[in-house]
Amino acid sequence: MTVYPGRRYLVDMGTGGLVEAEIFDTISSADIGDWRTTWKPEIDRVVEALQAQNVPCHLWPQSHHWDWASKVPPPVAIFEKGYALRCEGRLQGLMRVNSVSQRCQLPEQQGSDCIYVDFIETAPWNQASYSASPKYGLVGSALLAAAIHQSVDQGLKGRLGLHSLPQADTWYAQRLGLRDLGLDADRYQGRLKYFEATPEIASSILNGVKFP
Amino acid sequence: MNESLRDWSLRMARLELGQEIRAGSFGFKDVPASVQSGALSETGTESKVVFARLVELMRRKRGLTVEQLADACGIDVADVINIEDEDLTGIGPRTVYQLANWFEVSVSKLMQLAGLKHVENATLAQQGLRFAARSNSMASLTKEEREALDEFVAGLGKQ
Amino acid sequence: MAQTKKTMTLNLTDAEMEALESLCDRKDMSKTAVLKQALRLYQAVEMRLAGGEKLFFEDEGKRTKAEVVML
Repeated sequence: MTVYPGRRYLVDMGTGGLVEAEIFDTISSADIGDWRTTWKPEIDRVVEALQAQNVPCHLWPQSHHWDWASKVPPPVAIFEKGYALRCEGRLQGLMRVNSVSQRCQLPEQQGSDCIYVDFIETAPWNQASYSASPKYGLVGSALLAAAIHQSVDQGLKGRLGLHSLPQADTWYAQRLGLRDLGLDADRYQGRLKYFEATPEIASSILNGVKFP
Repeated sequence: MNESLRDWSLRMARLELGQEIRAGSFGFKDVPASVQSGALSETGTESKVVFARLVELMRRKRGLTVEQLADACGIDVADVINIEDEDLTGIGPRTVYQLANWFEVSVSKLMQLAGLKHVENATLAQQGLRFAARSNSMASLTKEEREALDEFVAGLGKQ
Repeated sequence: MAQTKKTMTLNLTDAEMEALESLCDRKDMSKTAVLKQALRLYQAVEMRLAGGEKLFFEDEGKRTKAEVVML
């Protein structure tokens, strides 16, 4: 079983060096406080600037309206889990997953249970959409590895499913190697692509690494 | 021997560099029905070449290095390098938006060229191909390149 | 922090064990994993029902919906 909190690394994009980070398998009220006081003002500032410049809203950073306070799993829920990644005293990434809401669609694992990534996001200062010099890299990999660990721990063998933001299709399909099942007609009005990881894909992402 | 966490982290960081990672029910509701996900994530080869050539020539017209252009626009140097290399994976709307403003051309049309918006106008694609065909990557702009660039930019004028 | 675990012994009838084993085969999961997943699903459904929602099955071919009666 994966142990939390766990030590992880992020990459400082300025120096290229690794910095120690910590991953938690809950989203605490302190994390939401940090989201509210450090992420939200930065997101709002950029959106206001785009609004003032009449940029169409579908070209804004597309999670700008997210309210993570309302996305925290209920404390008693065992079917939903939140993850928070912290580094140098600041909240760097958030993720929420669900154990029961999605069944696999790939033919070789049709109908199997999987961990479904409801939401995943890195802090605005880590994103090229908000910052000319993103601060930390590897937040996505660290969080997705946690989702794979949960899938393995729950006997789902690493199976994962998620609907990707269009600009993240390259990351999931080409960099991570998830299978692209195309636009999902059953969810999100058919506007988002659905990606899945088989046990083999999950295993290749983790690559036998022993995570502390 | 299994990879260490440090080595895994460095390897995955290279894969993740410049990538958008978000998943979930984002502002999909803000995406017009006419904008298909496929169109947002795949840029045609010709469009990539046109976009790359435009950015390169606009930079060279002003006598700027890649770093100077990135600095002037407030975007990443890596993005400018990748664009001019015709690699648009990971190029986000903010980068294109900043370039459009600095070049003083239509944000919408530049987004279409960059593959971040569904192509609304076939004429734009044709104009782009004519422009790309007339230009090449010589160090200084020839008279022909300058004329081709000015004509194409006029067509991209702000609405 | 490490989670504390509690152990439970479960007696099943032949039919219940057969149902469990069939689910394990179909889902390529262990008995423990199936039972824990069933518990998560049960809780997820109960929480939504408690919130006033209803649970339906939909037959796409016949275009009919049938409410799943939860007692």
